[in-house]
Amino acid sequence: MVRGTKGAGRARARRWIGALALLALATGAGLWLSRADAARGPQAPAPAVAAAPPAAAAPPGAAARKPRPSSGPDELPEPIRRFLEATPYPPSSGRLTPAHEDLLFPNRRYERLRPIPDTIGNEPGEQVSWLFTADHWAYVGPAMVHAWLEVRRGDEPLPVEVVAASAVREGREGPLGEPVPLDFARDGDRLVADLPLHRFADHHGAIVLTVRFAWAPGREHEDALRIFSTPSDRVPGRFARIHDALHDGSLRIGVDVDLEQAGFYRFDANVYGPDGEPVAFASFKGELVPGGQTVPLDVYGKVLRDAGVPGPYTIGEVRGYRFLDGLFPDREQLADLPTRATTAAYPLEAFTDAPHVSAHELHMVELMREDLARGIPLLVPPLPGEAEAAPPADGAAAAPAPGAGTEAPAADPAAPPP
Amino acid sequence: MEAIGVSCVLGVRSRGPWIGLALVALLAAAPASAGVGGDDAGTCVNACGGYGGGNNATACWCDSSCASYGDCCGDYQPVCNNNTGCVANSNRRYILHLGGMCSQGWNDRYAAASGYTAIDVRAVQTNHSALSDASYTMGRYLDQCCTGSNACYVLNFSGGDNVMGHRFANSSTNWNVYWVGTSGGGGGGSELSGNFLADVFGPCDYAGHLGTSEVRNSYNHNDTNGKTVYHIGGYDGWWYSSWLLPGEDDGAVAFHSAGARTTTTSTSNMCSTPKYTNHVAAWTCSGYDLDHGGMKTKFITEMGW
Repeated sequence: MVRGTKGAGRARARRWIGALALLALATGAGLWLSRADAARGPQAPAPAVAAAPPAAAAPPGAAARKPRPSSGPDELPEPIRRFLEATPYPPSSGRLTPAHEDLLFPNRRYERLRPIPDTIGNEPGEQVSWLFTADHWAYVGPAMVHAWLEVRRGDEPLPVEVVAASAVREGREGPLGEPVPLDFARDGDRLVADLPLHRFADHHGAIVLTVRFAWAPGREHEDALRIFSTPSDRVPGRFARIHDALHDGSLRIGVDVDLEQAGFYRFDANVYGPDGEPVAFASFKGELVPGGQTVPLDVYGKVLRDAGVPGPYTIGEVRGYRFLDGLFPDREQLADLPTRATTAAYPLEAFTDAPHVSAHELHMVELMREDLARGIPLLVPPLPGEAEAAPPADGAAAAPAPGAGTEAPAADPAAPPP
Repeated sequence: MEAIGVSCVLGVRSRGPWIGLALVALLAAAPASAGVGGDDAGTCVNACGGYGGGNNATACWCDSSCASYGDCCGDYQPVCNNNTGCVANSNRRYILHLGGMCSQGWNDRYAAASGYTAIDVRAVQTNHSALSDASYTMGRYLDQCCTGSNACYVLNFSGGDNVMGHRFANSSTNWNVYWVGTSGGGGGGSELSGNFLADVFGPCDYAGHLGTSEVRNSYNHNDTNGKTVYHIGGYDGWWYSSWLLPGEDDGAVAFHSAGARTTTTSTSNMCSTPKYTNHVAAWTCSGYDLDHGGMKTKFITEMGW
């Protein structure tokens, strides 16, 4: 795919901004401030960074492990430096690694074998443990829930008898309606139960599956697990197809959706390299209107540059939901896009290598700078390893700068505003 | 109480006009109620003007009379009056304190930091709907306390980790949050969820919603709107919990949760990877010799606040 002239110009502009940012990181806050002001346009000159930023009051008995105070003017104050270093990409995009199992395998479950309390402390071979889980967390439409129960004594499977098992709808006030019996059947070392969700088509939200089993004569144990169901009539839309393009130095994944409901939506997708290696994640959050439309999920260019993996990329795990703020349940899920798509073969050079800079980030830096000028300590927790290396922070915070006003610390946090 | 019970059906309490006049003055002067209703307290989310919502929402109201009756739900002020204790866009600095499971607020020592005002986030985390309710309420605080010329630190504990994460992942607002500090974070869920957790920390319906599968699938933990979330954890678990929680634990959550790991595998190191994007450990990899309750204000003391 050939990069357009307009896009190339924007990409160069981003690189220029990025270069400025890197330069500022190396030379100190002053340049950052002038750049931030430039980005805001002509305004009154910003006050200089406090010549001697105040240090935090030393916590008693924690001299070597205290938070790191702001540094002098000849280096970027630690909180600002760390904030900038932590935001090389926009929040909607980042590196995807094999460690991101939550993103690589969305909708997985995390239950594990746990010891039945009555057997805790037994010899390892006599400890009884159980696992009650299912194939997924969330289901869309009339899907089938595959749940199973495993019980072990030591490392060996332990045959158990299911005493009672059921599934019940759950609403904001708790269980809704009558429980539906859940039938288990043996499948190797497991007891399995399939729950057809068409029987719960009237319910949107959590369904609680409960099983009580006898693991020894007269010894029973009960466990429950929750699944989340979006019935067909609450599915807010559907995915159609995805496509890709170069956009402003970034990879734009266009997700075509047909939405039936307006609202605040969140969409996520994973990006893999030619060899299937995880490369990036991208997301979209925002208000959408009903109807067919393309939702942009931008993979910021520097994410791909830092990964060092050129295209073609594979786009997978495209998923999303309509968020219902303050309601319960708080989302209506779309069925995941069942297919993957392959993008054009983009060279790495097509993407920007500039750190991401947003108006919000510049505003944050400005706020931090104002704190320093007002004598408000800027603190940041030390990372492990930094704690012992942190220089001592002597003295108390300086008085606020004239005109900066004072704050009454924790006078009455519950009090109404003045 | 009978009168209240009857009018509960209608959702509005009847009262004389003189009461209303008196209440206007009382309400203006009254601090936000600590909330009533006990461990299964009700919430005003989607209930303003009437009886509190949520499971077992006993004796908790969200109408304009509740302040005088002393029976407001804990989140009445932020949810129904948009009163968070913050002054929007006032060039002020706040430290938001977000409590944990089964709480209606912080209910502990606040950070006393020069130049900052401590705010108790009155988010009700007791009901089946606690995560969405509390997240909604937290949004009120963030919108008012942490936008425009204001800026914030957010300190959360236990289930507050989940609430903050849920809010980050489901909002496109760029709040002026310098960073988030988390003690004994529940963002990875707990293998004790359900009866075990309720037995330990007091019963509330939300205790059953903190299982690893539910919590880890409730929101995208990697989306923090670009803000760094610092985590500290305790390892003073007890004999019983340590059998059920993998690796080190504080009696309620294991390090895989307190340390924001993307998996539930056992670990005794808060720094161990893999971690969710933008989540890091602070101060120490080994954690603290504290139980879950003891961890609550540890971030504050470590900050020297």
